[in-house]
Amino acid sequence: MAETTLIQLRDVSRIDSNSGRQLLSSLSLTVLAGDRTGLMGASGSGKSTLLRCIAMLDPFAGELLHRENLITDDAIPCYRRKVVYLSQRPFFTGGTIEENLRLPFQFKSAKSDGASPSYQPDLVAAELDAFHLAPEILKRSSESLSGGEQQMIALIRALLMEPEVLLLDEPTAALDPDSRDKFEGRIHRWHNASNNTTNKNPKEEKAYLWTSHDPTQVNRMTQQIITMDHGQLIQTTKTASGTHDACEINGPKNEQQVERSDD
Amino acid sequence: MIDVQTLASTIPNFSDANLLAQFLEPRAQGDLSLSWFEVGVAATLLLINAIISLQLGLGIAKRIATSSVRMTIQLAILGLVLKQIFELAQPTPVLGLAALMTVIAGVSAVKRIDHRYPTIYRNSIFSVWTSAWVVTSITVLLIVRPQPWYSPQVVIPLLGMVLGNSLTGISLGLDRFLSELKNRRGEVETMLALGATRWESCRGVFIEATRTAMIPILNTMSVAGIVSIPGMMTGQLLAGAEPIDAVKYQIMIMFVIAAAIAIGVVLSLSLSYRNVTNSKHQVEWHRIQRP
Repeated sequence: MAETTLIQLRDVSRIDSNSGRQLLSSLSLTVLAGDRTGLMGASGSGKSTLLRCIAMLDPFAGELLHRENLITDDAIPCYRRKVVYLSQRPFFTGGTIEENLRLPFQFKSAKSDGASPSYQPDLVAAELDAFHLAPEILKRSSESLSGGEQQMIALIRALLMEPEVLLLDEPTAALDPDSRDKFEGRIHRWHNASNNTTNKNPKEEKAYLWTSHDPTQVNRMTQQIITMDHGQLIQTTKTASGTHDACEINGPKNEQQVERSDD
Repeated sequence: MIDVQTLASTIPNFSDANLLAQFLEPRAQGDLSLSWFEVGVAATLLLINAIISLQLGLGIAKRIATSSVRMTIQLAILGLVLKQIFELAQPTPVLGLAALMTVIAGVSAVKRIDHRYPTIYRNSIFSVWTSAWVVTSITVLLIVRPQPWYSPQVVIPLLGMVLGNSLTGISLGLDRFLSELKNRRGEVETMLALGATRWESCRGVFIEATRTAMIPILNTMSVAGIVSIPGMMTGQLLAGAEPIDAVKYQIMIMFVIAAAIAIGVVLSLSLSYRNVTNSKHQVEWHRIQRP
């Protein structure tokens, strides 16, 4: 298989230091370029924890490889620009929307990496247009925005960094159906633009992981669903829109429990 | 050591009928020392407070009583200890008392904080110690230059003033830093997720905490001499110092205190920042807890 391995988790465990509860237990997961993976499971099964660990936002035991390399501590901010975590509730710093969109480009990690994109106003204008948002929104403060608008701005902010992987933590849970559709559509186009061209450039291939409580949404948006329970991956199923089996589960501890459905 | 004789001599003897007569007699000019009876007159003023509190049911009568007694006992002990140390006039006891005061200040600074992390006491004591001792050393050795250098009547009150202010600053700064970090968790994590280093994500909270900690001393400096006559100057004037001399000392001590606060706050916040974040550019939220 010539598929590019974007992220590999090996034996990743995380324990909540306060309660002593095992949040993730020796979990292994591979994310390949082109993957559209849904994460399902009850609240507290470890979906968010897994996404946060992939973004290296929480301490964990085990190995995480990015394009088959370990990530040094200093490279973590740059890694997070490539593998962007989007929370259910977007957060903004004080100031206007434009200042918030420019924020990631002011960090040291934006300057140290020569290949990283710069803030392009015309690109922002096109993005706003795609969401049917008026350009005047740039001058507004984040508090004056609706929940749906905030989530779209958060997505635009993430896309401006040209990520490889999006970690979407129930991104549309608080949105009305109309905003949800726009959000899904934008993710779809972002993923397609890079993966469905005839000349695949492996550097530009994208993947996303999407957690949701809504089975119809996951069926619509992903090609495979991983079910989680008590910090373990217990099942992988292909969805109706799934095209190829791209995700491997090889947790040594829970291998027996893993069931693979054959569509 | 405190001997029984000294202790006994400080306890007022209210049965002495001459006391009232002494109190009513006019003082000799320039003599402003108080008798214990006169201190007792001041205490009756607080009785008015207690009566009002009882009448209105404010529920603080007991606290007024306990904090008054506490304050009296603490200061009485301080008086006795200082008396002993002044008489000894040796560097070791002076430095010993200074060290004890410093540790107590470091611990007290943490006592008022809502959120803590495991090594906060160590950091607070280290920050108070470094800031207060560096600044007090400069003041004593380069500015005041008493003979001998360890003169307790210079070192102890100066250090006390520096410590009291440094501890307030550190306490305010740490409290603001930790509570604000928790409040702005979403914002801090969003920045990290967008490629900020740990410093870039915490800088805003750090600056705000530093500012909060510096506000009281800046306020004090800006109203000094207009709204209030600062405590140290008051003391020197009562002791008969020339106003200009008292003013010089007061100006000097304000600069010294402001410097101590700045050093203590930046030091304690830097240590705290290092202790609640790690080299993987993560904030270790579980370390920040309510006691």
